[in-house]
Amino acid sequence: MTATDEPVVLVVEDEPDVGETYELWLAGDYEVRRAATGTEALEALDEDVDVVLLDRMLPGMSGEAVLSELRDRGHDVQVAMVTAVDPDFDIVEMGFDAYVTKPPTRETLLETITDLLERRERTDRVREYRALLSKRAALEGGKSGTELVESDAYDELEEQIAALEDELEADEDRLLDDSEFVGALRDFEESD
Amino acid sequence: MSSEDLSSRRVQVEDYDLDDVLPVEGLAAIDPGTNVLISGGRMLGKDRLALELLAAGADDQAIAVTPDTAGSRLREDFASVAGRLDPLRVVDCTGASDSGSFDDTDDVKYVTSPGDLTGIGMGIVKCTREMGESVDDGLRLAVLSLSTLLRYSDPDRVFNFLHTVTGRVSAADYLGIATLDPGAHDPQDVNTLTSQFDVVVELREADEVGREARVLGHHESPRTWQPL
Repeated sequence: MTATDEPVVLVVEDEPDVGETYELWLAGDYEVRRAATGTEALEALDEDVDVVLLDRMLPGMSGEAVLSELRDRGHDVQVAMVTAVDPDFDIVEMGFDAYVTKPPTRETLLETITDLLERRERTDRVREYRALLSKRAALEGGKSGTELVESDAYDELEEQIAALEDELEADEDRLLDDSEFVGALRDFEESD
Repeated sequence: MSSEDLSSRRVQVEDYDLDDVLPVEGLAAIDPGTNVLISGGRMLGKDRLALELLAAGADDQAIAVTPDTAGSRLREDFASVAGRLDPLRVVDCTGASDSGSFDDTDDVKYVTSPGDLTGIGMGIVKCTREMGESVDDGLRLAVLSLSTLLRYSDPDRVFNFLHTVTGRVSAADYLGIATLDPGAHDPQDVNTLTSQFDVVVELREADEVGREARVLGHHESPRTWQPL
């Protein structure tokens, strides 16, 4: 928890004007921290940070190096690379969760951040889904068919499972996107 | 523009031909986006059946994720079943490489360990990206086997991995295939993993006919045991 309860975005950008612009755009919805170098970014990063906007071309330590250090430390954080070059599949391989082409519009930047925060919620929902399935399996293992049919708790569980299944299925198309697909896998692995 | 040009193609097929791999009524073909689990004990030919299902689509692309068999070896196994080497691509996550190199080739993408589930996903994506438009005619994706993945990652992780992979299969209209030995794991874990599949093909030994299969979750097929 942070002082404001707003999600925390860490902006890593060496050009002050650009960093300030991002901060201005984000300040209404997020708590913004800024860093101008890779070293500063690693210093500013703690458990409260939810999303990092990481410029690829930083003086000294590159965006990639910062990312790899941050992953090594096991931070459960979403990282979007901000880049002027078309990154193609590289960014997925490098371990970024998304990328933003420079210079981004306000809409793009806000959308990317919302999207990354939503991914996290989906991870939680899949966990919840498994917990419910597990519970159902336990019930089925312990009771006879007639007992289950007559059990209100079982009915309720079935309803919860069906509702969550619908919700997850409605969201499935996002997995067509390669960075979403790999990102979804990475989120689970990191947040254990 | 964020990540939009990283979108993969959705397959454009009416159904997936299963030939006569499973001589079960109503199972000559299956809808795109279906996830099929082959469930049964050891020595019942689960992997072979999975390869047959992969190979049944002569014009389809195919990817096999294997934590058990070296990529080149699996391609040979596929060739002996299919009568052709292509188009199988393998995501080899055995953690060993028979050539001593972990550099990807056109046909085999290497992942350093069966426990690297993100790496496996990345391997799958590398394959689909290389396939490009040819995916339009159909893509079959097999995980051989879930039981081995469960030895390297806890059931929660394997569940999450599977949820993401089966979700991709369903969204992109691939045909998904996986194998599992239910006797080797906690029944509750087997139950939660199994519920992520649309169709379950159960295999068992049978005295006179060798083995039997029954198909669950496919409305057009009977739920009774049949000789295989």
